[in-house]
Amino acid sequence: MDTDRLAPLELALEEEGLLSTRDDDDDALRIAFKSEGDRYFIVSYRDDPNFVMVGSGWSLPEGADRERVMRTMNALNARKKFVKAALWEEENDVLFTIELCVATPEEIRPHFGRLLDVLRDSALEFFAELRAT
Amino acid sequence: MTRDDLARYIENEGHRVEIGPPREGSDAVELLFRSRGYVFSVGVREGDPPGFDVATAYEIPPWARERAQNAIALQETAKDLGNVRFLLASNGKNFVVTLVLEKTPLQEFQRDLWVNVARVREGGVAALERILNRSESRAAANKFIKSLTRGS
Repeated sequence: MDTDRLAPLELALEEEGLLSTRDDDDDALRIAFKSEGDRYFIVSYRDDPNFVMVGSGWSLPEGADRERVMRTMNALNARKKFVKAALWEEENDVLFTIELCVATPEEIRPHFGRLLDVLRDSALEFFAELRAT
Repeated sequence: MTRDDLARYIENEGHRVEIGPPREGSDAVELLFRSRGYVFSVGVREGDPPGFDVATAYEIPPWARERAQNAIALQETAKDLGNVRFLLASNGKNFVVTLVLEKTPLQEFQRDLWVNVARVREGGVAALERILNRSESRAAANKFIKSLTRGS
């Protein structure tokens, strides 16, 4: 039987006091949720059950200089633990993801608050540095 | 009602909300939600315009529970932070950080909610740091004095 692999992360969200919705299909299991109004997602693929990704996507400011965006992302990727930043969707959005290899998502549950903090801080630092440089 | 509109807004921002009973001796009701590991309380005083306060509590480590010293540390922190107030609670085991916003239209409060939550959080962290720094410097001073009075 196909177990609900993301159930432990739904519980982690519950413990954080956050509401969430599910959007599963034949390829993937997905959770969408918001924290302080910002949107986040969790994805696990059915054909790669050890892979779990937690992430958030943000629109770049209109007219943002691509070179500057890349430099800022590279500095962030080099400095931050866990997080990967990438340009996305015709280079208008920046995606922050944490990609993990786990035996079961239950392993992530006790660290979920920390991972969410890292995602939040990465976006804050990225946009602060983009404005400053 | 303002309370229900605000509860819906916070839920729409992603957070489960619990509506508490009316506060004792006041017409304010309390909305409770969690963010970044802390439980926040928003007090809502119905009116036109309504009034609000945003609060959370921090635990003081047992080794730093010096009521008189900590009351001074909280007063000093409050001086730097405008309308953020601090109160020692539970016999000095905790302190409560509260941001008070009198007569604020609901839309304005909603627009600034997460900024105000961050102000409360930052106020709490600043106060806790001040308390811990004082306790650490006091402990170091005590150690120094003891070693001096021991003689050689």
